[in-house]
Amino acid sequence: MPAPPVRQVSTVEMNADSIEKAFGSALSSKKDQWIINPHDEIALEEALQIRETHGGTVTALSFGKPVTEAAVRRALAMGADSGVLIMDELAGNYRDFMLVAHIYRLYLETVGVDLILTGSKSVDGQSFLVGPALAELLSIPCISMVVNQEINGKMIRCRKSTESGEIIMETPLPALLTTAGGLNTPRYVTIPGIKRADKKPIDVLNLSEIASNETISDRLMPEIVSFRRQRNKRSLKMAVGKSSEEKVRHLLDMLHEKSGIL
Amino acid sequence: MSSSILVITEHNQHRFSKSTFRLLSMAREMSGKTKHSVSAFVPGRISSKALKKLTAYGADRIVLVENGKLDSFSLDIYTHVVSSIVLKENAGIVFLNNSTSHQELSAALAARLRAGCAINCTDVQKLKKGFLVSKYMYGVKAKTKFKLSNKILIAAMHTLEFKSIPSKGAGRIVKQIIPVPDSQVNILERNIDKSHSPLSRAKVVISGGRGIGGPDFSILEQLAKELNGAVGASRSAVDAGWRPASHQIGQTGTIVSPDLYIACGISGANQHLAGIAGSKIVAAVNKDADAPIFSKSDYGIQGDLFEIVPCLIKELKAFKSRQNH
Ligand SMILES: Cc1cc2nc3c(=O)[nH]c(=O)nc-3n(C[C@H](O)[C@H](O)[C@H](O)COP(=O)(O)OP(=O)(O)OC[C@H]3O[C@@H](n4cnc5c(N)ncnc54)[C@H](O)[C@@H]3O)c2cc1C
Ligand SMILES: Nc1ncnc2c1ncn2[C@@H]1O[C@H](COP(=O)(O)O)[C@@H](O)[C@H]1O
Repeated sequence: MPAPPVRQVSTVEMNADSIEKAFGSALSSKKDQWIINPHDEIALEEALQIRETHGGTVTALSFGKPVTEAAVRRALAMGADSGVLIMDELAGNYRDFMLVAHIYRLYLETVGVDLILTGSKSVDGQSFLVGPALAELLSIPCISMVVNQEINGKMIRCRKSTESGEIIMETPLPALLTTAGGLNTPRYVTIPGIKRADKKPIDVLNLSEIASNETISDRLMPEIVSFRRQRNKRSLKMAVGKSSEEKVRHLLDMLHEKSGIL
Repeated sequence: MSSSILVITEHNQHRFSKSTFRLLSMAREMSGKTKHSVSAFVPGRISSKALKKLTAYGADRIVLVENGKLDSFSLDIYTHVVSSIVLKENAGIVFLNNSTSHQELSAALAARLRAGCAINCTDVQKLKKGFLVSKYMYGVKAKTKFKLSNKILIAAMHTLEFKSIPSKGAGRIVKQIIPVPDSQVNILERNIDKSHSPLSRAKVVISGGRGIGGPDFSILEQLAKELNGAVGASRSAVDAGWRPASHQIGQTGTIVSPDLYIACGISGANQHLAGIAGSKIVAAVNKDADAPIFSKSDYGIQGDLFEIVPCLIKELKAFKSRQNH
């Protein structure tokens, strides 16, 4: 019964502008375009493939605001069996990572799962934290940056990528995996998929239903004090010359003289 | 006892990583201002020669747990051991490297210790109450500052910009004995890719896209060798199966911030740019003068990469021999 969390992020370009104006409250902006975090689509795809080979059910879990329902619905359209959306005002402002881990722990302890898949990071806040922190809170093993997995009975064997190569490791279930880009290519959503999704259940919970104010508060969250968009302005200089040699020499001269590189 | 700054070192039994020295130097500098003492934690067995070198980098205490189970990284037992060292050393700030293993360790430590945590940090300041942390979001498209008010801060630092500076005074070596449980995760095989220097830390990155046309990246590898760099790839090249997923650069791959990034046969999609915007200099080789990559580059060469790149290798060799004379 894999349970991939689905985090909704808004498309990169637009959101960096809007968060600049009101840092911290991205999920409230209406004009943004929302997508599922691409890493979570990978996690969900892997869960669907595991279900196809081993059976079980796939639940998509998300912590967000009312707009997040669309992301959960989309996960259902991709093929998840059911969705759970935990809602609170504290969600989705780039500072909720530890909070997300604590909330998921409280929820998952009540339902019990065999395998949890999360993305390795969210492409907006990119805290990289939720997966390993959640595994720690649940006291289950965590294998991160998985590029390949194979389940055999109660064991899962994974290939994971590191900076210096790859490691193959094995651990008993239940376990948590975070997915690396390249693990799979997420399937497209089809019209029949969308139609089927309309009939699937989404369990919408308020945070207060699963956690008391003392355990969950914004004390768990950092405060954003500044948000600066990096301009990434570059003024292009094309290397010129009649031949490739001339162009290349011109480039090397520029790299050497103008930028002190080389 | 006032709290200390704890640096988690990385080593391969014979040598500490460059980032370890940079982290220690940074911690030393910070401690000059805040009057914290600095402890360095060395997990597993280490050669005495390497240890000697470490003592010259300004740690007041060098804490060893010489247990073979810690020789290579395992998340669960590292979390167990390091969290107990954090408490024993009364650490207020814990610095780690921004490697994938230290990133996950940071997350697990923070969960266990109820600490504040940030990954991909470029700067940390101690405030009267809490900490101010600078980090990137959206790849490297936005730079943010966070205030965290937890008692302990765990920070995985981007060390590329830091210098390593030896300091006076040799650290005292302290051996700790902590029971180390067995890991729940069994390592079956380790394939170390020696040819591949870590992308996230490379000073020069050469990357290839669909324009390479196949799995043969040898000209890029030669160019990388000439420039002491690492080779990366666009998602298209990875999706085509030409390169392993770990070489992918961009929003869903690795984020790089080298001094020089050379994109060869890459069109410059937004998701690719999200991973390279932190590069000091971007140069692009593309046969299409209108390729979007050019508008996000400092230097460009229009042309067939199979002609330009070999020529670049040849001219670089000539350039270097001129420099040596
Ligand atoms: C959710 C999501 C996440 C993504 N994440 C990433 C990511 O992390 N990283 C990433 O890279 N992409 C990512 N992408 C894909 C991205 O949108 C582009 O599709 C991809 O970057 C294109 O790769 P490319 O530039 O190699 O290929 P193309 O766009 O096909 O460009 C090939 C270029 O090579 C040039 N060329 C061809 N032959 C030659 C030659 N002989 N000499 C010189 N030039 C030549 C062409 O002119 C062209 O400009 C993502 C997409 C999505 C939807
Ligand atoms: N609000 C959320 N709802 C659902 N999943 C989340 C949420 N935040 C983070 N996650 C999961 O945690 C992963 C890592 O996110 P992060 O730690 O924010 O970089 C994501 O890929 C998601 O799988």
